Amino acid sequence: MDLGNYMRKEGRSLPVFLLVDVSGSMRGEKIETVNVALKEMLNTFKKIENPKGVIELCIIAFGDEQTQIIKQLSKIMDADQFDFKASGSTPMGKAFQTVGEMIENYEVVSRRAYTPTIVLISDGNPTDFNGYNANMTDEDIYEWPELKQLQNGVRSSKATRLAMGIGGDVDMRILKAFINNDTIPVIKARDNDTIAKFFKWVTMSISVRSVSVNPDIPVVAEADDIFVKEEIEF
Amino acid sequence: MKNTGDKVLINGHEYELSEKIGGGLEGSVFAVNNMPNFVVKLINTAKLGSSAKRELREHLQWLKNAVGANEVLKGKMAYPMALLEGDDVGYIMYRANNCDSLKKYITFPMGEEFVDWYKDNYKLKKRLQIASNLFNSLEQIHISGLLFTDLSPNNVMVGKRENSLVFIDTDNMRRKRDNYLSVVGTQGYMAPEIYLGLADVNSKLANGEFDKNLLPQSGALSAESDVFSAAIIVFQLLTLQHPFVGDAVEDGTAEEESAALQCKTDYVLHKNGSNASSTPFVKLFDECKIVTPKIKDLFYRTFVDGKNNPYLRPTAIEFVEAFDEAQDMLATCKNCGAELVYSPQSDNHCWDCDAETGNRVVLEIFNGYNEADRNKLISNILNCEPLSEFGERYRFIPISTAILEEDKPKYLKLRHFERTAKRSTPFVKIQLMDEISGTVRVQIVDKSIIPSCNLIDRKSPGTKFPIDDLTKAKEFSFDKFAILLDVVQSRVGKIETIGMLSRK
Repeated sequence: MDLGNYMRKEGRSLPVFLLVDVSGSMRGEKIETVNVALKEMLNTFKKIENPKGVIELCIIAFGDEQTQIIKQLSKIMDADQFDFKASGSTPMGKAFQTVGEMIENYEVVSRRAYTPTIVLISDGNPTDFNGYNANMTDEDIYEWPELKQLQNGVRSSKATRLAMGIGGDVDMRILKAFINNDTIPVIKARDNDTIAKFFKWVTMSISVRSVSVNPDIPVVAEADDIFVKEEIEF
Repeated sequence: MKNTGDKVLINGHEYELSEKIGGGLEGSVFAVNNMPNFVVKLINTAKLGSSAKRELREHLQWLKNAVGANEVLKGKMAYPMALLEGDDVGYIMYRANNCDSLKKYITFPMGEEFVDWYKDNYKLKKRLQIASNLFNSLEQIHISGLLFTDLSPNNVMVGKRENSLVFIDTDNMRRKRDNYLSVVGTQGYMAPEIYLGLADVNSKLANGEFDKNLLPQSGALSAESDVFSAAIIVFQLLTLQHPFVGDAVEDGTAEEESAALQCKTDYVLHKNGSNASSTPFVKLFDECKIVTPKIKDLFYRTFVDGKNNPYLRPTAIEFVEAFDEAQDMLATCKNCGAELVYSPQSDNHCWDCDAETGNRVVLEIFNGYNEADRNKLISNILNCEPLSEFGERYRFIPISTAILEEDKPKYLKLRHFERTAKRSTPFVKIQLMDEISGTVRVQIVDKSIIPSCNLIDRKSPGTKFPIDDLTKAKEFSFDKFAILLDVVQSRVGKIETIGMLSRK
């Protein structure tokens, strides 16, 4: 038997999309904390031995009226280094559109891939949500076309979504509508400590999932273990 | 939840948690400061109410008593030796030192050369031994009235030097006779009926009409479901492939893989299946190069006949016997060093380098009935004459076979002699000293079982005379002598157990 020629099938990818708000208000300590926490997350992911689901990461920054793909969906490389610079508005809708299109595209997320995770970090409210105001109803928020499209996409609808709102200006209802799952809380960051914890929470959930027997089953670490009550909102 | 540096209370004493060494979402395992032989498992109770916490404590207390009082099981698992006190739920247990997770044996590391990794790191003999030990431990658990329930490679630790096994994460163990309100297990390793149970529980919970008495009928945990889980693990250990994940599944979507892990596809070696696997070790398994035909059949009975009918599955002990026998049939390729399951009197090629193995020295043990015809028996075996000649009056039955190799002494155990008790007790040591001249060394190692056995001259087998007392090591040429290993008086006459060596 010619065993030498056997090519082992590559591991399925476990895609993670990170949407980072880089609007002007994120400038300073907030964005620097994100930079440091992201670095730690990458280091942890790199150390995972023999994962069943091979983590692939895509980083999308939204600010200044545009979305910028900082890292195309790909495995984590030793050379990966990211430093966000913050300025401008908060085009969250554009970010939803971009990530939705990528997830539905088989060229980007292969058909063998496990269901993706989308992680959203924002410290403000969307500036590209027509008619948005703090008094609008929850139902109206769900009707936001960019969000609705993401929630209804063939594949994006199945994605696990995690979100953190930084500071008191964020309308948590928007992040909740994004998550759209009663069992997963929105994380409210009061300070930089919460930002670091949020990244730990995401890192832990994705790491456990990548080495599990069936990485297609979503894993969300117990929020109570990491956050204090005030940081969690169901 | 507590973390490194925090203290826990056990038997009124405080112990400090050292580094976190494992655990998932349901709990964490910590080393204990100044106690290198123990670890503490702290169960995550964030989502549990007070009555659920109490039930969990009661369950752990029961497990502590049930396993603690069982001398056989105690050595095979990390069980709760004492419970945590205060608000914590958890227990202290022995640490499985110098062990690797069984997961390491079935997870092929990226970047390694597939066959070399299989061959060099974890030899086939070790894999077969682990398989035998795993089913043997399971048998011990079942005859103690218990079920393991959450058998997965993560919960089995293998000794680095010996192949002893230790079960960890034992807190899901249950009594056989219990009903269960929740289904426990690891996806990919649960028997098909457990998934049915899960769906049943969920729909009943949703409709608010939960009746726990219905559960066992819908397919609850059983000794048979434990055997199914063990069979999946061992199939992976031997082939590095999940038994329900074929080529089409590998190429398919993650959803299709999920379905396969829940055994919704055909067994990859199903005769009329549509889920074949072309991975090398599945092929070698199918061609009986790394297993015996008996083992292949046991897996077929588990994954095809017994897939949806737990009662058609083989028992754990059938697997133990088959894996013990397979170890006797291992031969080493003289060209490349790979181990293969040898098949006497057929054309054997090494599965790796394809070299011909040539004939090997084969020890065959027969039970012969009716002493008077011993000479005829031996000459018939020697001349390969049909055994039917003996007719009704004389019967002889081959009972075991083993391959002998130089420098590898073989201990014949009572199982080789069809004894049903103390099967693993070594009785005779036999070693091939020189393959070319056909010299073997034989010695009885346990006189308490059989006080002596004799050599028989193969040229005049009718002459009954002892060449020597074999309680002392004796070297002889197997071309000249056979070994009379045992004589038992029975109602129908004498039963003689004879060992014959030949190149086949």
